[in-house]
Amino acid sequence: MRNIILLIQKYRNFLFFLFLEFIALFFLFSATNNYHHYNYLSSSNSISAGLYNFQYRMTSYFSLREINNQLMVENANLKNQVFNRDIVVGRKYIKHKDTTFKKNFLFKEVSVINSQYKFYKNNLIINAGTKSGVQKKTGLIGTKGLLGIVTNVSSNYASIRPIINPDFGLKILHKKSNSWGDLIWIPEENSFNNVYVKNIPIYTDVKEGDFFITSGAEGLFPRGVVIGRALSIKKNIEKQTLIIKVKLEEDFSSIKVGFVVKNQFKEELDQHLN
Amino acid sequence: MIFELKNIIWFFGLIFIQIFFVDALDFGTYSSFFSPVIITFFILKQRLNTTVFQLLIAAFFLGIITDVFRNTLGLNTSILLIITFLKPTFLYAISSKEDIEKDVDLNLFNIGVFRFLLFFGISIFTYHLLFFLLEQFSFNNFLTLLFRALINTLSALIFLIFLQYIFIYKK
Repeated sequence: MRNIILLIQKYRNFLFFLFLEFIALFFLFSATNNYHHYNYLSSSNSISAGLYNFQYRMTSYFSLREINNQLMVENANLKNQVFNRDIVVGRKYIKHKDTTFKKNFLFKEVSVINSQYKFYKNNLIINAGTKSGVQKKTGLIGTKGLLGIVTNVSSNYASIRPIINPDFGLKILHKKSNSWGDLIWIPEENSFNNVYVKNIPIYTDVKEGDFFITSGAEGLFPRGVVIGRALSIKKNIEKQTLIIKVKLEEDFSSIKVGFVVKNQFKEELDQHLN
Repeated sequence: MIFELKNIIWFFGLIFIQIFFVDALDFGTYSSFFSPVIITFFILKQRLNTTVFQLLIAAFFLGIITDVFRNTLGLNTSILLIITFLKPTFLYAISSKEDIEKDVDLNLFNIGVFRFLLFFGISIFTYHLLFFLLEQFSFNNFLTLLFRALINTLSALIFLIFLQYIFIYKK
């Protein structure tokens, strides 16, 4: 017994190191493998997100002009869409102010108070949480295109898993041909302004500059939100697929505003998806 | 003592500089190569007569707070603990035990430029190498990873030299 105590005394520093290391590694692996993150130990908790919010309020004044321009361009685009809406002739019925049609998607404007873009697993923080009706597994779009998916919500803030995170995965569409592809960001090969689109069949006619859009299949985003344009196209002969490098429309180093997408019929859709 | 006021200011100051200055720097397309971690300085600069027990506790909380801000729970903490444990090994690999006084802070001005670069260089390089390996959790693109570790070590050293000239340097 005495020898055991002496042994522990002799190696107490090493044992203490092992103990703390074990806690740290437990945090690391349980936090990345578990969907239910530790709410209070992620960057969307009130203290850290509050500090980020303070920093955002200090620095956002310097980019007000830029934000304003972005919003004006988006406004102009939306006006174009609203006033030049084509009437589709030849469909069976036209809907017009009909109360039987419900709005499918609701948008809530938010500020992106912190945007990581140079790390391995990047994260965004927005200044809206459960109090504003933001829920887990809802989408976030920016003024130009897709941003990411809400992963963690506290009462006033939420953290987002952006496209530029290796854990992000989404089925997307090639706009011209309507072919399905998978969006993948590989941290070792992609920088923060491009991603890979894989698993599009080799016979699809994809040219440089073609748009890629969301499919709307998972109910996270409406169909047709722009992701980016094809930058370079390679062929994978063994798999008979194309590997397309896509330049993202959104510049993750300078996002300030975004819109949380709420799907009114998500629960109903989920019943069919699972 | 590690729990004196000066050290507490360094503790929170380094976290603040790390999160709101170093992490917020924008290098354009090459940003992914520049993500230096400078919080190791707090552990490495402590006097030699600080007990390992105190150092480990400080490292644990330093790591956890940084991790919460960066949303990488456990990653910085685990590597920082390893570096804390290996600190004497690194130090005595580059100098003999009698060379350095036990009750002075290990900074640029007290241990000399050459020893500073070697000791801090080796420790911070190990930190970054282990950090990227654990983050990626595979040996894919190992050369790129080594290159990133090297670049980040150099930039972290430059940051630290600046910091010490601003906050420690006395004539």
